[in-house]
Amino acid sequence: MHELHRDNLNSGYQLPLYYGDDRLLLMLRDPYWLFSYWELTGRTLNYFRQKFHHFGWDGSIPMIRVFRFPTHLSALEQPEITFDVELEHRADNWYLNAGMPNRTYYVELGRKLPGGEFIPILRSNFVTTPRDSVSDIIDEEWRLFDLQQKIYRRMALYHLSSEELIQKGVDPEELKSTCTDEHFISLFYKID
Amino acid sequence: MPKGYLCMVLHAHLPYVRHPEHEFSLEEKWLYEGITETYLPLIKEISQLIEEGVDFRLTISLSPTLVSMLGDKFLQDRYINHLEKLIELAEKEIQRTKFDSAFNPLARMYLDRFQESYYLFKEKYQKNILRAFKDFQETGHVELITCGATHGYFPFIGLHREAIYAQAVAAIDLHTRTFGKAPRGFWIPECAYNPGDEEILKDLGIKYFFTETHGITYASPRPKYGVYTPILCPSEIAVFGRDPESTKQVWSRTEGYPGDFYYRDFYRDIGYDLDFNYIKPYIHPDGIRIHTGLKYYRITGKSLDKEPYQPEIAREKTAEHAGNFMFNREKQVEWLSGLVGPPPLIVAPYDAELFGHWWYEGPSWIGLLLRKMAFDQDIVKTITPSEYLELNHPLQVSTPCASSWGNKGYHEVWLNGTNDWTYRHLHKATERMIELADSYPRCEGYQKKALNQAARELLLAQASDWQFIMNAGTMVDYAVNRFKDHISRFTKLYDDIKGNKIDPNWVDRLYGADNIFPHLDYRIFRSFKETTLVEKPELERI
Repeated sequence: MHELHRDNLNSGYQLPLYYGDDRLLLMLRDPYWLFSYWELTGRTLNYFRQKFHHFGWDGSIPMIRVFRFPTHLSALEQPEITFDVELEHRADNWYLNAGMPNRTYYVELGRKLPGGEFIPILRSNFVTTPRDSVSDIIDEEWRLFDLQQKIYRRMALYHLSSEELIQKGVDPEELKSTCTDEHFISLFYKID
Repeated sequence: MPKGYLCMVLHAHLPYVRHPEHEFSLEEKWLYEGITETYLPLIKEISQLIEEGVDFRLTISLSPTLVSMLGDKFLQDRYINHLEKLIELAEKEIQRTKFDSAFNPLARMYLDRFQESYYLFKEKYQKNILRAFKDFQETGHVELITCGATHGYFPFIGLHREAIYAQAVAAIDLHTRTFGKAPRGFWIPECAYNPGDEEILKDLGIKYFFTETHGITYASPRPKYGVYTPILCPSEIAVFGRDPESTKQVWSRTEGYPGDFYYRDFYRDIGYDLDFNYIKPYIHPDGIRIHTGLKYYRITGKSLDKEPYQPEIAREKTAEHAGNFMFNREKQVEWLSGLVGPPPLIVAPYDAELFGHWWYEGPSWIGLLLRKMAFDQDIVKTITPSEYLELNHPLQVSTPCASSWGNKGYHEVWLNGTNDWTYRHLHKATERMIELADSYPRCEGYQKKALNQAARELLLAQASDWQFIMNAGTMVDYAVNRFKDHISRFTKLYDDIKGNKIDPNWVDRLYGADNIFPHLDYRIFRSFKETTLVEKPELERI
């Protein structure tokens, strides 16, 4: 029994304090709030400290810059808005009041130099906030569930009897990937 | 022809808790109480319904962690010990209350129930109650579906798509092995949906899943019939949204049925009420008072003064509430059928453990409701999601909105100051697991065992229960320690595998403790970039 003791099973390991990676992650809490956590290695910080030493790096303030886009953003699109959030020096995570549902965001973690310039160090992944109301898009498209599509696919293969299909090693019930036939279905089923 | 349908879904889940290293584990009691108070009473009700020839349908989601525990020999034997102690306690209670006309019949009621549970568990189902669910499925009355392998919170672990794939594929594999049939439906843990996650499920042969109400009402384009017909994701997987009205009638703290003053009170328990020396053998071995399961009072009212429980009156209330629920569904369907083109569907999902464990009369309520619905009216018929889809009504194409069924409807329960620290570890461990799976495409012996164990430890760390418990604020230490244990064990496995210094004895001991998913293949974590879904043809053949 004692061999299964918790500490014995963990074999001296504990939760790592850090992983030695530069990492900035953005997560979604709700339509209005995002959460970000990060790890910055000493190596990276030293690089920036040396590079911006003469611009007052040691007096700089950690900051997150939030970039907001319409949901279907393309690579060339300009953000609708950016805004900055000043951080506490020792923070390694922050809740961000992004303020707007149905938008795509990413953030940059960096430092604001005493002269006001923002020096980005890490850029995060993208996150899209959900809607908090009904969609304005009311276009209707109706489709048959694949169970029914199977019936029509079977009809499309009417020249083969079920027995012939079975002989060929095909389960007549499972004709999912045999043809793509949206137009075929629409001939049979007119939605009002 | 009915005018509409009711789809009742019970989601049964408990986190994987198994502690052979302790003589007594308080957290293992979650499973034992679940078996005695929820799973066996539900099995009893469903069996009776089938025997009586009642035409009913019920959808049950059995989480893979729960399935694993119910099938585990060590826990089965410990449950029998637990039940034997309960029977001993109930026998003592009959003696103690010999001259008490209010409590003595209750002590007898508990003894009868425990003895019946003992017979069902040990004799009828040979310690494995999963057999009962498999039998129910075969009658066609019950549709069994699965859930994430360890109830991982998809929107947060889904930063790595491989993690969702691994949660889904391990779940579907266990479900298919256990119940002999691949699941058609999937309960996304906590209904926590993120657009795009369904594509992974679809690739694994899943036909439908569920969301919270606003997952559908905020979907885009706007669903014409709200939650009252399923919608179809562009990737062609159907989505069923929760009906708020039937939810409220059962769940609401203030208006819900379980709060009726004649129902049994959950909090008053002889574990707290009786003389310490008398109750000592049946509480925590350290002398900490805990719930025993013998509760003699009814809710009575809002004050702490409680009256003795009277099962006959509670039974009348249960029937009344079943009738009320049915009446409301009839009215709802009559109203909806004038507005909704296809037959309206009311989706009513609940945590299974609400019934019996929390709401003692809950399993009887389900039994009475399903009988009444079958015999007393023909406006609403119960149905499974698969059967509704087979009615072949066209579905509106729309993408659900990110949502969950947690407090406030999004992700805050699983992401706040109590639990946000866990994610940096989960994400890093997942990244490392993907790296391992890609680096070792083939291996044998202890290298393979270590890799499989690493996958197990990661899956166990991913359980959303840990964040949920940290947020809830009770038993927090247990959740924190479990999370730390699995990440620590994973990290050592990662270091050992990478450093080619695997300790075979330790890997064996670890598997002895964390033995979930014996058939797990670590390669389910291979990166999407490096590979195709190799298990897909296997799964589709089943």
